[in-house]
Parts: sequence; structure tokens; C-alpha cells
Amino acid sequence: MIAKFGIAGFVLLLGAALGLSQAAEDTQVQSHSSPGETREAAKAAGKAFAAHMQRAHGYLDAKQPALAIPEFQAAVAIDPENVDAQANLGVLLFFQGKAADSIPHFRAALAARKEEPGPGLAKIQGLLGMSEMRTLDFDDARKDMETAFPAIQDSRFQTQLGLELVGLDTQSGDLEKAAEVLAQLRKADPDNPEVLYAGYRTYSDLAGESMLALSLAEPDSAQMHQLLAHEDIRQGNTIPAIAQYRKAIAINPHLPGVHFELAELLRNSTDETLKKEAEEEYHAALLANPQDEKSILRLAEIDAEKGNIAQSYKGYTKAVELQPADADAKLGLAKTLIAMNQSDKALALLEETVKLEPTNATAHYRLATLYRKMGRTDDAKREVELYQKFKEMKEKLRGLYKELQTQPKEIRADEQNEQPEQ
Amino acid sequence: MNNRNNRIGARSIIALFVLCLNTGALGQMGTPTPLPPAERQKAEAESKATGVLANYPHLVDITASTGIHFEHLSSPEAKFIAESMSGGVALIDYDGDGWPDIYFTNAQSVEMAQHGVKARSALFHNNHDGTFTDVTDKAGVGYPCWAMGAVVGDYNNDGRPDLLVTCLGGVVLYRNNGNGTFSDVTKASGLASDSAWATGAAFGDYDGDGWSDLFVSHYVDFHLDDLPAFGSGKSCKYLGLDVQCGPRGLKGASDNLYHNNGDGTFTDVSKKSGVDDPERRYGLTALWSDFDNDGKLDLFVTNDGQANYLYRGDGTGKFEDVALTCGVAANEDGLEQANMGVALGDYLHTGRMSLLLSHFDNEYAALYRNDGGMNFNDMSIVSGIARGTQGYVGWGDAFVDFDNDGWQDFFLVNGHVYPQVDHAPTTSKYLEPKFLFINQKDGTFRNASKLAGEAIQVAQVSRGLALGDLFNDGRIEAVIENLVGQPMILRPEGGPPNHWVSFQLEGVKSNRLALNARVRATAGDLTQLGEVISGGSYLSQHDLRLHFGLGSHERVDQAEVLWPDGKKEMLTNLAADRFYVVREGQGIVSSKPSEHGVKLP
Repeated sequence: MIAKFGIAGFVLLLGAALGLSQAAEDTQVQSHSSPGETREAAKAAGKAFAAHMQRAHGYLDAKQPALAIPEFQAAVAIDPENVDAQANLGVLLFFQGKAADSIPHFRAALAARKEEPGPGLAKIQGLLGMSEMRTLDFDDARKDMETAFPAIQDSRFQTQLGLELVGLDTQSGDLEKAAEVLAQLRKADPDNPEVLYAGYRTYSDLAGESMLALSLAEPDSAQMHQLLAHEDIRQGNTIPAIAQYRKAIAINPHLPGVHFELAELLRNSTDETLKKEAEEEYHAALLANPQDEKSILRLAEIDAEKGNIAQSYKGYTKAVELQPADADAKLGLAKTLIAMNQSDKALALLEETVKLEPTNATAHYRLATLYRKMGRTDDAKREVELYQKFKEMKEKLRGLYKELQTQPKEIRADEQNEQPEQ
Repeated sequence: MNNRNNRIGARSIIALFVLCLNTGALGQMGTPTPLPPAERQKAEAESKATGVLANYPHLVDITASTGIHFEHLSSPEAKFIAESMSGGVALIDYDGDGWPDIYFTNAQSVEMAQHGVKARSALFHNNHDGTFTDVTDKAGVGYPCWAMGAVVGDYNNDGRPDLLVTCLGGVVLYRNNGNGTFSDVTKASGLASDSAWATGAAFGDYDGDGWSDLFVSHYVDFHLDDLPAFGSGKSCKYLGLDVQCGPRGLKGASDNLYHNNGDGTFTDVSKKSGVDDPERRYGLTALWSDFDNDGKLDLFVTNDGQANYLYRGDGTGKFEDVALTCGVAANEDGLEQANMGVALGDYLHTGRMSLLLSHFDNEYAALYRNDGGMNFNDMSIVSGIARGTQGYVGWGDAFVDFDNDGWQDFFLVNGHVYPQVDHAPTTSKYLEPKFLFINQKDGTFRNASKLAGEAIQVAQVSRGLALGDLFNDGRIEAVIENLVGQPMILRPEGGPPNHWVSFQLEGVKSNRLALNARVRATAGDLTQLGEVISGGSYLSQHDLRLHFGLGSHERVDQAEVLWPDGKKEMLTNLAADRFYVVREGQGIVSSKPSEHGVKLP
């Protein structure tokens, strides 16, 4: 993964970040000779050191890292405490796949650094951790990577290091720690597919771990059946999921959220009988929690579908009161108001809806319609453009969901069918 | 807090996967559109209403007495989408005797095609006595292709209506020879290059040069040697049952516009005109009209399960799709529907042409009221159309004044796509009834489907619908082509003795059939707008004559003719209950009374 940075770039980057420009003349050479001889020898050693370093950097500039390695090795033989030489040598060896060989140089660089640890040093420590991981020294690896991770400012390197740390935590079964690192990665690099996938895997593993723990602790609990219902839903098994919810309710009718979750499933069923039962479950959810805004909203939607306009208006209004940030509730109320010929009130609600949920294509379309009726052509045009943008986004997502549900063979068949002619 | 968060998370997961589940469970076309406020209760009440509609004719099935024997071929299982989409019907006065004749399209099944069996389309000559005679063989129009629909135009301006048949694999243009025969001039006219699955077509002179150009919409990229397997894949399921694949999941086909060169040939100008449909939407019915009354022809195309096209024309051959900004691309929530048939009419007497589109069973027919300035509003629900049409698969549709009261009612024929629906967990059935909605003159319609006789309640698998005064007696008949079995011809009988008037327009400088010429007829308090239209309904062709009901008015105070070239002609003080022939620049050149003497068998 780290190879993505490019070796030469990384070395140069590292040098700059560390401020590694120690003068060759500063090089200290241990000696038992007389002061005069010592001075001469030190001067000669300093010159030799400087020459090696110059050549090494020359090779790096010429993108010949293999030739730079012996020069750095010669330099650290003269001055083992030179941070520049040790760090660069460590980096070069690391990128050559010689993790074990790089470790003493990283450690020497860290030990020789006189200033307070900074971002450059954090990189060295991060690389040390990664090297240790490759040599199966997991304890030291974790320690170094955990220390380095928060101090690194280069976002790309931080992401790579973080992902390796997540891998390490996952490998050692410490999913909570992995989740902590992922939370930071999500914040720093929210659109990175590697980070998102690692998040998916970690949270899935956490879910699996919780399922296992629950099945061992309380296999016959209401929560276990609620969980199994979720698993069935995930696999597209609606009827078994409904059965699991019913079992959960039989064990504990007051289980938080269970009536609403069952109602949602029933409402989206293609079976008319099951659809009708959804309403009862929403009411049951409200009995358990009279302020359950989502259930109130759903009942308002059902009333609207039945033509109970007064009831639906009441329900939507209540839902908006309870949760002013619920875009669905505001959209529902706006649509009801439009049906009641109160477009002015609906307009304000729709404008609030798109602020709350800018990706709501329906709200943008409804807004466009109202603007058009009012003669606000430019506003209508803008809303139509937003509608198109978010509709396309939704369709893309729908395609993805479809693919998730489709067997590989079918995916290939559909792709063949859906690809436009070239 | 944690508990609550967990619950919200769980809801999100459910919502996400329910969305997934729905994508597989829904119908193959369009987007489900639940009926909002008050409509369901009214729909239920209307569905239970029985009895007789006062002051309205009964629509009586007269098919048997017409002598028409025609059967559209079909496949019992309809395993392929190509087996479900045919059935357009055209009224064409091919012999110029002033009596509409009827052309039924026909299509075989895939299996038949694989065994070399051809489907025979049929032309029936109007005998002026209520009967028709099969003249297909003499006319030479029996085997154009795997036929979808048919439209009428006069491509060579010889004054004789020609016939264009859309096919699974291009179009066939029949030149009317004027002696009861037709010649296939597809190749000679340059239309043989059209090879995709053609569905809708419409002649119209978009550049005002006096020659009718031709638009052809195309549906799915479908080939008999590469058939999508029945029930395979996500887009071949309906409510859990295996059904034919498509249109979703299949590639679409782009549309074509052909410019009439004035010498019997056409040139493909699809791309440069901007109507080439690069997205390859699933095109179905098309028609030309001037939606913003700017004197330039616009083009409307329905797309199945996708946004419709409304191309605004600039009069020079350039078009811009403005459907979305005009409000006719999708329903009021921005959901793209399974748009199939098109009714065009000024149902509110505003002087503007509105649109009424037929849709799939999880949607409803959509009424887009034209409010001027290319601004349409979805009035489906408030008009009462939605509640009466949800749950049915609609096809041919039209505004029609069966009772001649001067207000256009709405007529729609239905029939499901999947024979398998009869075994699905739904109330929908393969055979479906037809619908009649009475114009309440206030922007709303009353569902009178069960109040206008038994015939329209007979469940069939209908597709095409063409309207015209078959017997020249001042009453509009409905010719319905069914995908399965025989057609149905409905005749209005009884009802009020309202007056009417009919205009046949002849272009001189304008195209000879006067396509897209308009007549604004005023009789007392009634001012109506009619337009001569090629195409429309569902892959069908209405009678080209413009018919206006006049209610109790015995005269037309004035009839303003707006010719396609922009010239206006005013006719005044016309007696009602007559057929007028109006020639561009010459006014009325002939008129005759109704044929009340025709005794129907």
C-alpha cells in the first residue's frame, strides 16, 4: 500500500519534513587520538561523510535509490547519529522490501533526534511501526503506529498508516480500537474507498461479533429474534424476517423499535394483507412511545393514501412539530397542503425541506412546479436542474442495490443487456 | 441515546433494503404512484356506481354487425415483449369517398416468426351501410411486417392519404395509388434505413415547406436471434412471477426524424434537428402539435418508464427538449412513468392543447393541463382521472365528444402486459375494461365507465384506439384493436339530440392533408379548438376530419381555420349537422348533410 507514494518522493518528502539538513561539518567522530590528530581525522571524516551524503542525494535526485543505499550506509558508518542518513536509509530499505533491515535505522533516527517529536518524526515512527508489523513484531508495531498516527499531517500517509493499524487491530481481534481509528480516518478522508470499505468490514465484523455474543448470552431473547430479522432483511428474506419480528414481539412486546421495524417491513410488502397489518404495528409502536415521530409520519402517509386528508394533515403537522428536522415530514405536509390548495404554505415547507435534505429530488421537483406556477422561471429552472442531479444519483444507488441483490451470473447478464451500444 | 441511535440505524438499514426489495418487486415499467388525498374513497364509490347515465349515449358494441372479421395473433404466454406491444389501428379514407375505412395492424408471436408464419394486417372498406369489406389483398397492405401501429399522411402531396406502418424492424410506407391499391415505397422513399423497432410515428410539416415530414419513435433494441430469456434476470419478474423481459434491462433504441425532400424521398435529419434520442429512451407514441401557440410545430413523444420528450420547434428544423421544464416529462413528484398512449385536446376551451397519457397499473393516467407559455400542470388527481385509472394498464386514449355537447370527454382502453398477472398476488387482471370519463366542464371528469353501457365493461386486452364518424351521421365511433382476439367497434346510441359539425381540411400551400391545421369553432357560448393530427392515441390514427359537438346550437357562428403556413381563414354562420370540406384559400368547397338515412344492420 505504501508503495503508492513512490520511493524517491517519499525520501525527499521525509527529508524536507524532518528538516534534515545537518551540516556534514557537524558530524561527530569518536576518536582516541591526540587533539590535533583528532581534529584532522574529524575533518576528514566530516568531508567523507559529506561526500557520501551528497552522492546519496544525487542518486535520489536521479531516481536511483539502489545506488543511494550504499552511500547512506557509508555515511551512517561514519556518523551513526545522523538523523538524515539513518532515516533515509531506513526508508530506502523499507521500500526495497527489507523491513527487518530498515528497523534499526528508523530506531537510530528516532533515538538520535534531539528536538521534540514532530510530524516528520511521526512519519519515521509510522514507518517503523509498519516495518515491525512486517517482521511480525505486532506489539511494537501497534505501539509505534498508535503513537505516530495522530501526529501525522500528511493525509495520504495518515490514511495508509491508519488502514494498516485497522488491519492490525482487526487481526488481533480489537474491533473497538479499529473502529476508533476508522472514525478518525472517516473524518480525515471521507470519500476514500479503501477507508469506506475498511469501515464496512469492521462494522460488519463488529455486528457479527455482537450477534455471536448475543447468541451465546441469550439465544432465546427478543433481541436475538430482532437481530435475526435484520439478517433476514439483509438477505432479502422478507417473510422469515416478519416471522422473526413476530417472535421477538411475542417474547417482549415492549422491545424498543420492534413494532416500527415490523411495520416498515409489512408496509413495503407486495402482499395486501400484510400491508394492512402495517398500520396496526405503527399504532402499537405509538402505544409504546406516543412521541414516536416516525410512526406518526408513516400513519400520516397511510392516511394520505386513503384519502383521509384531515387526518394526514394532522399527522404530518404533529410529525413536523416533534421533529422539525425531518425532511420527509415536511415534504409530506407540503404535498398535503398543495392538495388543499395552500401552495403558499407548501412553498415555505418545501424550501425548508431542500435545506434539510438537499438531495431530495421529489422536493426539488415539487418546488420547481410551484415556482413555475408563480412565474419564477429562473428558480424553477434551478430546481429542475437539482432534481435531475439528485434523481440521477438516486438511480445510480438503485443500480448498486440491484447489483447487491443480484447473483454474479445475473449481474453479468444485466450488464450485457444494459450497456449502451458502442 | 445509544438505544435510540441503534434504532434509527436499524430503520435506515430497513429503509435501504426495502428499497432494494422494491426494485425487484415492482412492475416492469414506470414508478409506483400511490393515490393521495380523498381519491381512493371517491374511486371506491365510483367503482360501485351502477345504473344509467342520463343524457348520455350508450356505447354499443356493433362489431358483429359491421362484418369485420379480424383477429390479432397472439401468444398465450407473451414470453417476449415484442408480443405485447402491437395493435395500433388507423382510420383512413383511402378511396376518398368521404367514408373512413379501417386498417388493423397485426403481429405474430416469436414462435410463429421462427416458423415462418406471417401475420396478416387488414384493410376494411367502408360500405356506407354500416358494414365493411375486407379489401386487404386487393389493396396490397396485408403483410407489411411484424406490425405495431399505423399512421396516415400524404407524403407526396397528391391528395391521397398514404399509410405508414411501424414494425419490429423499421417502417413500411404504402403509397396510395388512388385506385384502391397501395405500393410499398419504403425503399424508394429512403425509409428502408429505418431498421430498429419502430412504434409511434407521426407526419407533420415541421419546417413549413408544405411537405409532410415524418417522425418515427423506436422502442427496444430487440432481435429475434438474440431473445431475452423469459423470467431471467431482475427485469423479467413481476410480483415474483416469471414474465417477459423488458423494457427495463433491455437496451433502448433511438428515434428518427425524416425530412420530406418534396420528391418522394426523405432524408434522415434526426441528429441535426436534435430529436435523435441519444439516450435511447423507450419511445412509444408520438404526435406533432403547436403547444405554445407560437405558430411553430412542436413534437411530443411518450417514453415507457422514462421521461417524455417535448421538443419545442423553432420552425427551421431545430428542436429542444423542454419536457422537464414544462412539466410533462414526469408526474407531479418527478417520477417518470410508463408513458404509452397520448390524448391531445383542448378539454377546457382555453385554446391550448393539453395532454393525457396512459400508464402502467401501479400508476394512473396523467392529465397535463396546458396553462400556456409551455407551462403544463399535472392535474391527474384533482381532475379525477387518476382515481379511476389506477390499477389498470392503459393504452389507446383520446379526448372525444360522444354526446356532442361541445365538451371533450376522455376515453381509454386497457389491457395488461403479462398474461401471468392472473396468477399474481394482485387485483390486476390480463383482460381489463375500458374507461369513459365525462367532462364536468370545470376541469374535472366524472368516471362513467359503468354507466355508459355494458360493452365498455367487457374485459379485453386492448391496445389501439381510433376515433371517427364511421357512418357519417354526426356521431363518433370508437374502433378498438385488441392484442388478443377480435377488435371492438363502439357506437354511441341514444343520448341527447345534440348538434355537431365536421370539417375536412385540404391544404394547398400547406401540406395537402392539412396536418396540424387548426379550427377554432364558436357556437354560442362554446368555443372549441380542433387540430388535424397524424398519429397519437396508442400507435393509432384517428379520422383526420375535425368533429365538434355543438350542444343545442344549430349554427356555428364562426370557424377560424389556422393553416399550417400561418394563414387564417374565417368561415361564418355555418349550419350545424353538416360535413364541410374547406380548401386552403378557397373556403368551403363542398358540404353535405349527415347520412341519417344509413340503416345500420
